[in-house]
Amino acid sequence: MSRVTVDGTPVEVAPGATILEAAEAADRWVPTVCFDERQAPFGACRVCMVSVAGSPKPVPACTTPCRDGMEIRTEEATARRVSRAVVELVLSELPEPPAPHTELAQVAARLGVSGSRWSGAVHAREDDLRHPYLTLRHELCISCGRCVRACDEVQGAFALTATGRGFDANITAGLDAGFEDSTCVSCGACADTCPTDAISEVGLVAQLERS
Amino acid sequence: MATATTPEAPAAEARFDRVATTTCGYCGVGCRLETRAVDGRIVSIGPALDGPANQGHTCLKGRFAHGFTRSPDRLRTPLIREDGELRPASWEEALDRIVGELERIKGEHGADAIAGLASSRATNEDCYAMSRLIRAAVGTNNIDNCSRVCHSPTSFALRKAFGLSGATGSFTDLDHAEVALLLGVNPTQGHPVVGARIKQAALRGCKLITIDPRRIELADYGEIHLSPRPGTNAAVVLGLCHVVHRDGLVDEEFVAARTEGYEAVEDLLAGYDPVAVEEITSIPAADLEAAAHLYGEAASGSLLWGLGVTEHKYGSEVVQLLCNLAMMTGKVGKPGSALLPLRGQNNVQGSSDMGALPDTYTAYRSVEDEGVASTFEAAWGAPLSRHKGLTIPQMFDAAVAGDLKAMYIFGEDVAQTDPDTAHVVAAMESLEFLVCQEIFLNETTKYADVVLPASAFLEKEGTFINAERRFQLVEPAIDPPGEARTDFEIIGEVSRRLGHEMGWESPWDALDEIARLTPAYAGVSRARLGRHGLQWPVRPDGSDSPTLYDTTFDRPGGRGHFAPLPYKAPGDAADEDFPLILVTGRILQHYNAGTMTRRTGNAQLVDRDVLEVHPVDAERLWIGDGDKVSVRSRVGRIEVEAKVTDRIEPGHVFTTFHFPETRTNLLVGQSADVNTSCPEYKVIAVDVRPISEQPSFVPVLADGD
Amino acid sequence: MSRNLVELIRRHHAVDAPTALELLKEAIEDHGELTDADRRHAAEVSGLPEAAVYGVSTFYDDLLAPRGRRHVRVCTGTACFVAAGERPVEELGAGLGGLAPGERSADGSVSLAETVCLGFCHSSPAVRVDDEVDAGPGAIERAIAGESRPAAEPAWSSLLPEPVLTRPGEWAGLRRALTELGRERLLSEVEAAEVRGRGGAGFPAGVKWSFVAKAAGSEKFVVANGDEGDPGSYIDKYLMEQTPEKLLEGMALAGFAVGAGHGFVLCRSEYPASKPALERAAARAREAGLLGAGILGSDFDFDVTIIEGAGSYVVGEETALLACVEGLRGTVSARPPFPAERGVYGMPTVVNNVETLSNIPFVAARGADAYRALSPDTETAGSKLVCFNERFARPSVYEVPFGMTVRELCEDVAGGLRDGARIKAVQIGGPLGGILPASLLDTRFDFDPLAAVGCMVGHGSILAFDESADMRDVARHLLRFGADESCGKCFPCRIGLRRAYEEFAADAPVQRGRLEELLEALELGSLCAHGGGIPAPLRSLLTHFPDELGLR
Repeated sequence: MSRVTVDGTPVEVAPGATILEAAEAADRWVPTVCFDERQAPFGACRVCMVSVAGSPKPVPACTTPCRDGMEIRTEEATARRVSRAVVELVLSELPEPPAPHTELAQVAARLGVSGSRWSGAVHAREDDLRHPYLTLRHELCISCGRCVRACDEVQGAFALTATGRGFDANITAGLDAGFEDSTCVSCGACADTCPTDAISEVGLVAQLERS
Repeated sequence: MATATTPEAPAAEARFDRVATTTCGYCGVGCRLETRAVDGRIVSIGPALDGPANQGHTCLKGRFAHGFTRSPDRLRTPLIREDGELRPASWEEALDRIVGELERIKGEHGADAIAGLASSRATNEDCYAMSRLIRAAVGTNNIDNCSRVCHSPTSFALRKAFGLSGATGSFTDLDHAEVALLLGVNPTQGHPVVGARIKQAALRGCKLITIDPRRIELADYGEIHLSPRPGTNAAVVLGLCHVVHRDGLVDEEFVAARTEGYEAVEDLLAGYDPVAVEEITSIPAADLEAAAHLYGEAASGSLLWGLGVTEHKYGSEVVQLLCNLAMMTGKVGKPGSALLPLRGQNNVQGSSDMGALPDTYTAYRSVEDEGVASTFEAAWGAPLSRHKGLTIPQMFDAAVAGDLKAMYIFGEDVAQTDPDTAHVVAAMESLEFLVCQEIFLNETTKYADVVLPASAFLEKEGTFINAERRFQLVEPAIDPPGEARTDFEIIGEVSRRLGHEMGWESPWDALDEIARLTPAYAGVSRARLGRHGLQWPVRPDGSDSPTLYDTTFDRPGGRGHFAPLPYKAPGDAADEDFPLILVTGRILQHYNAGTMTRRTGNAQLVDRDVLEVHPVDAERLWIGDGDKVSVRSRVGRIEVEAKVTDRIEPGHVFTTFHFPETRTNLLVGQSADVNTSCPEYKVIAVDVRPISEQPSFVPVLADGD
Repeated sequence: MSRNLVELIRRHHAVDAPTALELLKEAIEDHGELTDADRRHAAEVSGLPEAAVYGVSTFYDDLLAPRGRRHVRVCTGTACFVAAGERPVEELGAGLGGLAPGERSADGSVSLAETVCLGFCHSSPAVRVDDEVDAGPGAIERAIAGESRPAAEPAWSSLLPEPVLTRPGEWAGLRRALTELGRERLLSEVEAAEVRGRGGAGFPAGVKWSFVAKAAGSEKFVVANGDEGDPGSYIDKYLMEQTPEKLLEGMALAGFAVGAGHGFVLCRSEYPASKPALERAAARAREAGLLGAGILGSDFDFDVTIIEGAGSYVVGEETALLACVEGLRGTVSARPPFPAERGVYGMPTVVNNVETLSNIPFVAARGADAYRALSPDTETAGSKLVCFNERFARPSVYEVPFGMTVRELCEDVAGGLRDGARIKAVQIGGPLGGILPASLLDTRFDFDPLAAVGCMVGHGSILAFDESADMRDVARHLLRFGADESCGKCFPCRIGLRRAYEEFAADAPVQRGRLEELLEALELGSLCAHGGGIPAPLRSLLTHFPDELGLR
């Protein structure tokens, strides 16, 4: 066991536990976007930055293992500035603000990021609505990788992949010919984990439109 | 979905006006679900992150296939038959008709002329109530449930070998198993969430041995795949035991300390060396030896099986042989070493645990046991029969023979799913009175005199028991549509009108009664089940049993029982007229008779049954991919589309039974498990030929002499 | 990196079988563009799921641009940019019938693509037609006319009394290790020699090796990082093409020290001569009993597979490099786990830069003390290869001791700028290195002194901007490179570099406050040195040339 403190609260965590797990044990909130407890930590979004005493830079909570004696601060100014800056960047890549119920919108709200000062390129609208249950709206994808990992680490269908690179990175199913022409088993784990509704459920999208 | 480290999400759930946490009503995995409804309709279903079996995951059935609940053809009002046609009726009228007819028949022919079927789809409380209705209100033990046609052999064999009718461990054992041996089960299709767990375990290093006539998907992730001839499972398991014995892989200490009857098995095994087994099964001797070593040498290993084991003439014996294999290697009752039968329906375990069986009360206590019977008599305040009732196949026989006059069938489409359809239909037609309690009209309701509109699993409350013996709460996501009522209400009302007041306000009262009258479930209560459920036996203090038999077996003397059972040939075999062996099963997208899934978007994903044919057979029979073919067995004939694939071995064909247009079970004959009457759905000799619009293309069998 | 995908490949694959990436490369080289049939074939052969193969096929530059019968790739690296601005792309596009980069002519005769960089920084601009690189004055015109000719390789020389890196390999180190030193002494010599990584981070190779030597694994691997993507650098190119034996010997020594039996060299597709040179050298070594089973009669088995990348700068980062070796998308993974623990196929793996490994034979042959003595004026051990861009009078690869001043290197070694031009600033060590203004040229060329002025040794390239250079253009050029090459995994880099580029590309003042917030998020938030490093030259420009940037 390692003994660490999170914002002054001492907690004991199992060997190999991450800072995020320690924060959870201490009941302290750390903002995350690419994290899903059903999946291995990915370390892509860089929103979970926290400070650790003695470290010259903030560290990502999800991929940094605890060391005995670590003093972790979840709301240190520099770390929080980076988290906010990243969320602001993410909001700038979407052609419309994320729906209020989405995890991204909720993290942004809790961090006090209400919009983005950045203009510039946004993702082009391209919606795949062919599947009876699943919708894929590429313009809402923030490349957090959660859907791809759900398909890989939870379902094991390997039907989804990241595509492209840099700002144009996105996701698709199979050979980019829709869910039905892939190894997708329609389990919906991708829609379940998506923090922006880029992959969502036909029923939920319809309900949102009705209300 | 939200995790503990993301903010509370009022906005996310505020979109819905009714949310509930319940247990999936599709397969026996027992996924915990979060349901979300708006205006009385389900909008979305997600997995409960803390579901013990599903760990935040579901398959497409549990998550998406809920649209049937508001399908336009849902039964919304009672129907009664008049002048040969079903017409809408009031509840009053329907119930009067039921009570009148049942009382008349009981008066004229005695209570044993009436039988009831509970449903493995329904809750424990529904099944318990149905059993009480038939036993106490009607006065007969003619009560059975559809686990008869799927896992009754498992129940029988596990009780014989170990004592209790249930998995010896839990799904978490898969996370600790060095080896998992899968016999006659295709989890990625039939039990998708456990299938996904197995696949992940395999990718992390758990070595899989898959044994199935078809090369199932998990075989691609495993170490060894064996393709036996259908119906030869017993020889396969005997062969594995032979090699384990021959090569010194027996856990002598375990066998000596914990079991009895091993010597007889040792003698029997001599005849099943790998070469002899190859003769019977066509499995290469070397592959069988490798599989036996992989399983035998592992520090921990679990055994999983499904309907590919049970739905055979000697299905119950093969399960006993699997128990032998586990005991020989000491792989039972330890972490990572579990015997895990994958149950077909959501509550196959519970419907039988609840005593919806002709021979047992709750927890498999015999109706002939005076102590048990008198306990129930006292509790129910009604005289109870001490004689075993009829099993489902016996009911049909009795109906055709004229001895059974009325049936009350709840949640089962026997005319679609039971074997030898013609015989079932004859039975239905022979009845004087048939009540169906259903959510849709189906093949069986065609013969019903009264049809009662009931509720789907998403509309009721109570408990299910999953394949790892876990009692889990069921909560309504929505209310039943129209005038439809919950099954629990209907059964209670019929009972009341028959003069037997059950005295329950809700299913929770029934659950309390079950716990009070059943020592094995003594500690079960709604409050204790909570979000994670409890695995029986549940002691009075509420502690439960993830692993059985860690120190002793639940048999007199506490020892596990070895059964010296030889291989016997299946009930059907290929011959000149019926040269191919048909295996039937199900697929991911649909569920059994398809009553629910065919009324959802799943039908867009898969809209028909297909017949899998190996390329070699296809070429010989002049069958192309997508061709319509005729499949003829000794008892029936169907037409279906062919799919040419090398997932199946030459000489075998495979199809599903989800679509009434196909009616696959027309092909299934009377052959059934010798101990439990579970039908032999898995070995049917058939003749397959293309149906051509141009008769000149109809080939003569090319290989014919 | 998906553990499951790696496991699927591992189960499906012999270590020297072609990966999905290699199969896709073969396909596009064969018929000019990728089809779904190619992707399905690659999936089937490699064991990678189809979707994952699709993902690979959309990641690498080489797989994206359709190819005509003549495939023209124009270098847009920093040296060529300094020499010719955006002229090469424009002139080639116009000269080839109006093609934009990424296009193929309607008749399929010719296609145009951009590439960064061809490693002919001593002779810009550089154009590659099929597998031949032409460079220097007239190269563009010759490419348009279909008259390209191979450019001359630079001469190289050593300032050391006895050259170490700029002489052919002799395999003396491996002989001594196998016959005299043994594993443990070899490892301790390398640790004592303090061979610092030459790829940029400067991590001691001996420490890395000791981790791998101690790590548990049924097999272990050595990977030579030959993905010298830094525009302006052609040092590893030199080592792989001119002294490949030294690299192979270094790899074998690493394998011997840590208990690895197989190595991979990942070289760049932008250097068409590297893979053939390495393969020829490996074949000669096998013939001589220096690679293969039972090397030099010992019980040590070691062999190598030469892999060529497919156009991605970030693949030079070690976790992305491993992904590329396995034929996956070349994206970065969070560490831990480090490659020493989970590398190729999930097994413990040494990943060293080509130059680092090329230092090892000397250490093995002559010992740590001799190695430490190579740079007498500083604590830093060993020698260093540096290279210069076309602006200099004598641009080439030089072996130098650490500790000289940058001015001495620029003026005495490379002869100052051509045609009497004057240095405005130099960028050292690639696009992630800071920019040193002329006023700071007396800084010593060594790890710590360069770090103190916001620069780094990096790969050792020294790229001069003369007084005609517009530093806002330089910023825009660097940010375009940064945004184009971002692997897309971490959010700050994926979005932030795009936003920073847009700031400098727009015809409007750059908002300094917002830019500095962004640079901080990139520096502190990025997953790897790409997003974390691009701010360094921008910080330099903000410090030394604020007036040229059009700030607000």
